Amino acid sequence: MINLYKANMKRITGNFIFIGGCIIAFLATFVFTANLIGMKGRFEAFGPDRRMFFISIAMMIFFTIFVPLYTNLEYRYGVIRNKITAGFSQKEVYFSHLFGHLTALAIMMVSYILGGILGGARDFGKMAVLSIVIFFALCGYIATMMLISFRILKVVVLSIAAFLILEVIYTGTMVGNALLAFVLKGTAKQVGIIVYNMSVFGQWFTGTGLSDDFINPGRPQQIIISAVVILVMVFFATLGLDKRDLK
Amino acid sequence: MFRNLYADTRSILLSRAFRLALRAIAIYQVLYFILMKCLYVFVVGTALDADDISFVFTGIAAFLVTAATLFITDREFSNGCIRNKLISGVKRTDAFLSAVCGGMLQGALYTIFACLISGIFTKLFTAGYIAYSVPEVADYWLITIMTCMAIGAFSTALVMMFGGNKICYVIGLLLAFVMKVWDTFILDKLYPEKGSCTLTGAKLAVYSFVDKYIPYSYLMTRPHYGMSCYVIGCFSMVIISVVIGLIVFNRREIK
Repeated sequence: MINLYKANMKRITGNFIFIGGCIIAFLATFVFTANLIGMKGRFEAFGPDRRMFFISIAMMIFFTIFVPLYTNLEYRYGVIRNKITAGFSQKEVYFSHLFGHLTALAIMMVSYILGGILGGARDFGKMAVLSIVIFFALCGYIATMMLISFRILKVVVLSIAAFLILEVIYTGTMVGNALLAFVLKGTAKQVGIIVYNMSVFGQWFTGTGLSDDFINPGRPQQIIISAVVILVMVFFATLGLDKRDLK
Repeated sequence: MFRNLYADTRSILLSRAFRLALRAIAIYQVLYFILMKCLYVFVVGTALDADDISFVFTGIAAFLVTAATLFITDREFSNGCIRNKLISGVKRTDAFLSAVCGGMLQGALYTIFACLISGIFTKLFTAGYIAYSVPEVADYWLITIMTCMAIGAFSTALVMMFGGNKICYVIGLLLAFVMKVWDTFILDKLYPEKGSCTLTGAKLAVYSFVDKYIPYSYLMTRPHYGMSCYVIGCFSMVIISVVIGLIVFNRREIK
């Protein structure tokens, strides 16, 4: 599996979409954090640190595109069949891709943090905590994308499914804000807060301060929720994977 | 041209993806209705207003029309269909225009279907409209039909331009999502809940233009301009899609 992972990393780091994504992550974070586009009102009042965190959500959109398109290449030109013929299991192929994408995320996070620091973000303690939280949340999201990428073989259906998940998470978070503020009470509210924090959008909202304070269950709890999401997604992605027939 | 258009239309109407999209609209509207009904029964305590459930389709319209046209039009490229058409004597321009007409037809049919379901629910289960008059409801649906036709044409043109390339799988869907998020932001800036709009200069001009002439933003809130603005916006989007699409499609090498 180490060899597969190394091969994946070599391909990912040479991929022009990924390189472009890292450059955009750096530039966009720098421009937003330094407020070079002259945003007024609420965004100006955010200050550099919160503006830096605000732009971090763009990484979610990047991985919605990158993970399915890149991983689906396994099913073209008989790539995965060649790997299986060479003695690797489907689970090994899956984990090599998952760890490859998580490493790619870590590299992009470094670009993002560099852009933020150069743009003027100075509260390093808060930046570290929020970066760890959003990193784990994005890991959960990547694990979700990997689940559909390994289960849906047709690239057009896969793209639609990936964007459907993005739309559902976005709309669900908006609806969740209203439900948690006005409708849910007691235990239902506590469950609602956990569900809300299962998505990157939810955790991002709590980090930017755009949502109500009570929706944030605490940073360690958010990391635990993300870890559970990762484990559940990996479980479903690998369930019966080695017994699957490949056309 | 017409024989090709007839064949494309028949292929769309008989396709599984088309029926799946209709089912998705129905399920979405039914689930939304049940959710709102429960909310009104257990929380609000009054009869359900038609305003709250009638135009729910607009929330998914951009994504659904883009996804459906992407899925159906992509078949042209996935099994050599477009090459066979060209070999059998269909002109490139005809093939492109026929596909765009198919995309527009899909946009119109999905909206009419959503309108029918919405009409049935409104008549049977609600206390009627509170903030809309009958002409306003008709206007809203007419604008939604035009918008979905424009988005259908645009999305189909994108697939025809980039067909067979990875970019065609994401560009339309990404645009639909980005426009949704951006429009939320624009509406918040142009029509703030508290106070009046504080935008000035180029930013105000750009935001107003998007709100007035970009069809994606018509789906975000109830119509608030004259019908001419919506007609111009949708018509322009179709014309631009067709002109640019024809230029690119006629010159590209088909894989």
